[in-house]
Amino acid sequence: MRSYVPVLLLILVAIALPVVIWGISRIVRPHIPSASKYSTYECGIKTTLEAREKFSVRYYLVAVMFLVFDVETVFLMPWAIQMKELAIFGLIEMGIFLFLLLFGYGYIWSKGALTWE
Amino acid sequence: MENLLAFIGRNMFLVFGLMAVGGAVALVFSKNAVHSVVGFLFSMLSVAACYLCMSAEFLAVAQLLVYAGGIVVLFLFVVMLVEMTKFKEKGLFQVQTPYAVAAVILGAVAFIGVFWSTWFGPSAAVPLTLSSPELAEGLNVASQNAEAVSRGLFAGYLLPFEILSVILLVALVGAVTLAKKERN
Repeated sequence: MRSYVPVLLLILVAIALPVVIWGISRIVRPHIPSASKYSTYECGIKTTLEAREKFSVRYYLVAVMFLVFDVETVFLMPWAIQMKELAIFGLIEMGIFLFLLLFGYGYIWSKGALTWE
Repeated sequence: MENLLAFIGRNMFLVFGLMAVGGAVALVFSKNAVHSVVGFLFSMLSVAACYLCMSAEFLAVAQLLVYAGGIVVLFLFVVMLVEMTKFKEKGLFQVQTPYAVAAVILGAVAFIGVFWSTWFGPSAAVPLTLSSPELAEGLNVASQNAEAVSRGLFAGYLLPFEILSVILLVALVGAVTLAKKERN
């Protein structure tokens, strides 16, 4: 656990930095509120719609596909570090694992889920 | 002060565990669905730190990649799919309350059982050991836990590992079937 002290320090600096910057700007800046300052800023154009629109389901589909192949990559790791010891046995097992997922890849490709229409 | 710091140093698991619970409480009680997802992210990061405290580095990194990196994004997309402009969130998310209460009670009973056996039962198994001792031969399990995971996966849990790929395939096909319109 001791070897993670630098990571902890990094996290503390990352938390402290915005707090310090925000605190200094809060002390230094003039405070003159007005109605137009609190309105939604959209590149100077008047806002027309709500920001909380319904998003397309395609984003969800992309996220699921990412997640599946993400998990696949995580399981490639234990095989990769023991590749020499596992030898041909590991190769066959991993081959079955990858073939099934490759099948899924072919399926989503053939269904056109990879194209953004 | 020094005693307190030493105590925290010895009980990092407790600290991160409490942080994870805090994130989970924020997830359940925040009114805004996006804030809920941020609470979930915080909780998942704390759980990754908990794994680190148990010196399970491989699991911690996997937790960061899959949960904090992938599933949180998935949750955000689900939140975005719901039309927020009509402010029906409350009614929308509370249709499953009886089921949720039943699931929580079941989960609580299971957890209490685990805690009960840990505290009052016979002393638990030493952490980070493989199911069969011969697998750990020539391996320092405490510092080489990725290798330990690998040996466990390819020797003791080969069938679950292969079934996993089928489950991932089902997830992929299910997502496409649900979300993709047929091309004409």
